[in-house]
Amino acid sequence: MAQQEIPKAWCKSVCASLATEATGRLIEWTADAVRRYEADAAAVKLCAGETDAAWQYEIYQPIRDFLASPRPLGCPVTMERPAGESYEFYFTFRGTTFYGKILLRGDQKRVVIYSAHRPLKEKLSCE
Amino acid sequence: MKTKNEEFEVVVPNMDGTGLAERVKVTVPMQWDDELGEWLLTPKAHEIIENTKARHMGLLLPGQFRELRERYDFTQKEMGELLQVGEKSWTRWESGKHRPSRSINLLIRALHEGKISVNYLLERAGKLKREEPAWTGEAGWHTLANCIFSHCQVPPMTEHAIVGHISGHSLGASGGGMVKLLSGRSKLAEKALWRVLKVRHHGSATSSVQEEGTTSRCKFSKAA
Repeated sequence: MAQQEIPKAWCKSVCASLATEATGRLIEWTADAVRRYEADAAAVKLCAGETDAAWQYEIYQPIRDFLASPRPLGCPVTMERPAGESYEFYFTFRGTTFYGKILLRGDQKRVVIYSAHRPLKEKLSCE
Repeated sequence: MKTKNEEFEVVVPNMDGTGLAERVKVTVPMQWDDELGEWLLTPKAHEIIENTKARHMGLLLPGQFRELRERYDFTQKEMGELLQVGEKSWTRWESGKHRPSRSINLLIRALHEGKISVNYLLERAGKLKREEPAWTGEAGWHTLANCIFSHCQVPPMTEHAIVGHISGHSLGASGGGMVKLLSGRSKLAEKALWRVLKVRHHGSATSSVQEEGTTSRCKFSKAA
């Protein structure tokens, strides 16, 4: 199978949530997601010779850019306890490919970031 | 709601961008989400992580941005204009939504610590200069201290202004003694001094003051 187009309605709701930058409220993170993001984003910035830290809000715009692209591709993810709809996808963070996995909760307003880091696998689950 | 604290390692880059300066361990609160069957970071946890990075990089914290603005009685728009960054940037720094770069932080910290004058920045931004308060710098610190000791009238100034002028100053061994002596002379001065000490020791100015001052002999009035 191949990656499929992520539904527009899902992308729109996730983008709206990320645009609020309400970290911890409308945008929730698992501890593991923050750990991996911090390590990988810091490494990417260091490689680019940047002296600033990797802030959590910096990942929101690159994800929004990807989801707002004409035909964003990814894979639907089935979770053990479905509390909404999840997709995984690759996007670009400062010129580096990152892997993202996001759950849009049933209220269509809150998202949970499960992953935002450099890919650990070569392919997504549906490929 | 089930909660727990978990240890978290915060990554802080060094100043020349060649590596990591340090990894700082902090304890952050997590809450259990029944719907997901997962532990999620609370808003406070995110705040702790981001503020730890900021503090270790020498960046001002959100409360210090607000304190600096209130010291000069500026609006957020005026602060944006003063630093030539725009209102949105300043608002985001003050709310903690975004953080300044290390380079712009140097400038803001210099202003916060009284190393550069607000009039210099006003001039560079093409704005009218203000009358410098008599309390700026070393002389200001002594004037304030003398006033408190001699129970004189102090012109209207806000608590934030006092904190600002004292904060911009290094309290050496004699300064520490002076703080002890000043304590209790004026409720407002005492409150201000405690806040300065709390900022110094805990990097935060948000704690409320528990200590009650004794008779307030030196008259401070809050500016309107």
